[in-house]
Amino acid sequence: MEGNVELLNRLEEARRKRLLEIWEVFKSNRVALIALAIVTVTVALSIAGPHIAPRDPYDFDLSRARKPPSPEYPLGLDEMGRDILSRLIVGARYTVGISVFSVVLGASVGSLLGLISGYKGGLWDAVIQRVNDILLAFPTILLAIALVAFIGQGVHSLVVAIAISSMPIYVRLVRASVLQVVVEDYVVAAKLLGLSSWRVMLKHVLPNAISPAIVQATYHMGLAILIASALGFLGLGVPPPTPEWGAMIGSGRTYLFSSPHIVLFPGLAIAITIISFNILGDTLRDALDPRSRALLRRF
Amino acid sequence: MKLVDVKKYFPLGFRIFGAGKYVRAVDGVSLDVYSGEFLALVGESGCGKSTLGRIMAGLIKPDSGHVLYRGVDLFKSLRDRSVRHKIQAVFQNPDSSLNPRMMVFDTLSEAILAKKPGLSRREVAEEALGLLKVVGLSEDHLFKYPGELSGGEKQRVAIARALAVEPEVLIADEIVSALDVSVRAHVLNTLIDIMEKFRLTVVFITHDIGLVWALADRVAVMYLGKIVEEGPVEEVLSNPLHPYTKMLLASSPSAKLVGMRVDERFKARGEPPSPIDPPKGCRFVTRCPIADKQCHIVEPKLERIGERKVACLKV
Amino acid sequence: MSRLLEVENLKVYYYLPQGVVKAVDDVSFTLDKGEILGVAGESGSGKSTLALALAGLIRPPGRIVSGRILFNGLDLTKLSEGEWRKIRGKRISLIFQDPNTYLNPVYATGFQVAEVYEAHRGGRIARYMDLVKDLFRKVKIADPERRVYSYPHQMSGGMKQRVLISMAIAEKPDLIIADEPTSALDVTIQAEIIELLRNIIKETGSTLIIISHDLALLLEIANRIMIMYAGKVVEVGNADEIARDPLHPYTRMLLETLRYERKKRLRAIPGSIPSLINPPSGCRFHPRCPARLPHCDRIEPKPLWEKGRVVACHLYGG
Repeated sequence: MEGNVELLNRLEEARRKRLLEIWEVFKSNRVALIALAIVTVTVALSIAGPHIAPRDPYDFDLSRARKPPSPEYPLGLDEMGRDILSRLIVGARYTVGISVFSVVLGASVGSLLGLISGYKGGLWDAVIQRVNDILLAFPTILLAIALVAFIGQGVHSLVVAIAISSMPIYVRLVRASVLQVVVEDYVVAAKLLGLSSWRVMLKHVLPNAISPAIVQATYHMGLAILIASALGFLGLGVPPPTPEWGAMIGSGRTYLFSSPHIVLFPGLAIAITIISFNILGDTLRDALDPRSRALLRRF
Repeated sequence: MKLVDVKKYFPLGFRIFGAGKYVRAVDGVSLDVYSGEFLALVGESGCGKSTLGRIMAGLIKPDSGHVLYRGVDLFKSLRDRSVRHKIQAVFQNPDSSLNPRMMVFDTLSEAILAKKPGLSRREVAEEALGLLKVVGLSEDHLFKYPGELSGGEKQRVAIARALAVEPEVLIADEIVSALDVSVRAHVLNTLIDIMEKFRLTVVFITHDIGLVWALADRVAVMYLGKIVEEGPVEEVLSNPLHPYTKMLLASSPSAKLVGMRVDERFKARGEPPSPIDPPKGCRFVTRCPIADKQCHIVEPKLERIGERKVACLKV
Repeated sequence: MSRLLEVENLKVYYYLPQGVVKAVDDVSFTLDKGEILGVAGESGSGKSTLALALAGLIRPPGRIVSGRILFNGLDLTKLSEGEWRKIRGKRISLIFQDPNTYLNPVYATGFQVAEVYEAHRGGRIARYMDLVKDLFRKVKIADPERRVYSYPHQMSGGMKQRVLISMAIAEKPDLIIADEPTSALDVTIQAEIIELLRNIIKETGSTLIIISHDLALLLEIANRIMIMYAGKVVEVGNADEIARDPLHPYTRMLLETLRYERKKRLRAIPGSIPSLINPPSGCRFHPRCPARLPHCDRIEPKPLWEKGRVVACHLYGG
């Protein structure tokens, strides 16, 4: 029996090693580490924003409007005289929150539907695919606008609207991936064991089919920010004076050439965040792929 | 196991109201599988042996005909897990046989728990170790991921997984065809050992006549969805009756080396016709050196001749 | 019997991050005109690398490290790519294993064969189509007039392999190298293709090197057989003689694995194929050899003449 205790220990060790290997992939890639750091900072800001901001992001004073960056206001003041730095910090929770939640929601529901569609086939597949096609037929922004108009304005409806309009891609992606995975012999073996459909779907098919969805999701988060800003620009997004980054660009664009800092800083913030999410997604996909890890291991 | 006139056609393209073209993968196969025997199912690509194997494993439902297991309709009783476990299978491609995200231990424990759900972690580990030993792998393999295993090792794990649920029948579909020649013998010898140890019935699907000679008790030769000859290996391979069997033997380099009967008149010629539109009469007419007018009209049925069955008008 | 090919102490190594893979390590043999030489070996024996070297297709990270390949007196190891292009397809041609990967799916097969003519004679492909029809006839493709315009996906595996063969014989080369030409085919189709190759060689007088892991197949078609193991030549000689009286223990064990016996366990060679980065010291086969002598793990055996054959084994004084 002694041998068996050791066995279980070795098992734990092997699992830990596996997790460490995922971390190794990140560590070896400097760019990925930077991306991870940026994303972490952004997420932290989303949570702790209001407590960190040096000034009140809503406090406006037209007399000092559009002042360029100075030691007192490191990023300058916007067109209403509000501190851009503070608005950026507090606004993180809106921009990042909206994009992350909406994409996670849309991707999860979409992936699940894609899984069912691809695995069960038949009537399930037909129905899900046709509904999906209808959703896909609408241009994303138009769909989001329609949904917001339907549900009502506000951050929550924005999240739902973007989630629903981004869902169809995941259904398609995951379904295609599932169709390939489902013919692999280990899935057949699981069926031979008499496991329930759900068990096979969730334990064997989904983990091996989800990779393209993960990459898509990280790209999508960038897209979601843009959609939120577009809606904000149209007056359907977050209500002003919420310091959502996209909205900041929208309201400051009149002064693009006279006071570029008003648009520049939120623009940079969006760009850096989007790029970081993308890099994170790519690295995550590589890290989670046991095949590419096997390649790395051999070196 | 008893297969009675099993048919499986795969549709091509759009099928509106049953019209359209079909690939006749399995076209009326009746076959008995006896307990404890090593039955070889041999044929070339497109003959339907893999499809037949999957039907026997309960994975594909035939379009017509019955599959009986111990006298009971197989497809009706598969919902019962204990029946499901009785027939297991291992397939050809080692890279696809194991879930790349699961450790060998996880793969095996899932199978073990499927059979014995109440076991403790320790007991599962013990059984997993036992299974690995039976297939000739060591404790170290438990902690590896499929990406770290060689083709032969992956196939062995697949066999161990199949054994975990204590099957009575193992369908081995070209299990060594994708492995290096040097590794094949090792894996197959393992198969022989476990067959003896666990009193398994093995249905061995292959295109390699040499392996049939070495390993099998009985053989069924398939061509274009039908069985053309069937019987004890000694008889069929040292005295083949069906022209296609003779052609197979005349084409296999190992046949001559080993004592199977090679008749140069039945040298390989022609190509197999399409399984979508098989020729009228006997399907082998397009390549048969002794086919006559009758063969183009009448489709031969499997007839009993002594210990075996042959489907040929000229016999 | 005139000498067509002389390979002297050829070494082809691959320089990988993990180390140096000594794929072909001091290989020497000769080939006379009109012969069929079968090169046998398991994976990792170096036989495919040898084929590539003979066709001038070794690319980085691989390199011909040393040795000579004399083809009708011309040293192939010293040729430039431009010079190789005049030889490949014209005087030395290749037949590969998987016709699916070696035929371009978007062009008609006839056009692809005609490309061989276009490459060596110039002009437009269209005017060689008649020659291609003749070629298709020669390789026994049914209905050649139409088939030259068929696409690969419209052809069966056996037919595609015939197309590859027709490409190889188009310019009537002196040497044809076939690397596992039938491994991807069904056994009855394989038999036909081998028969076809045999007849074509007889007709055209070309010389054939056929590489395969299937020793039984080689024993059928080849005049002489060369057995390779872990980058080295282990035994070379007349096919029938080797089959009757194998000298090298590895050859003997390989032949044993073919001797299937009714209801008996399969014969296997114990152990596994060694790493080519770190091959065993002395004789590469010594860890698996039942006839091992005490010095086999220190000294590499040199190839020697024995009973009309070349053997590299200490049992015979190597």
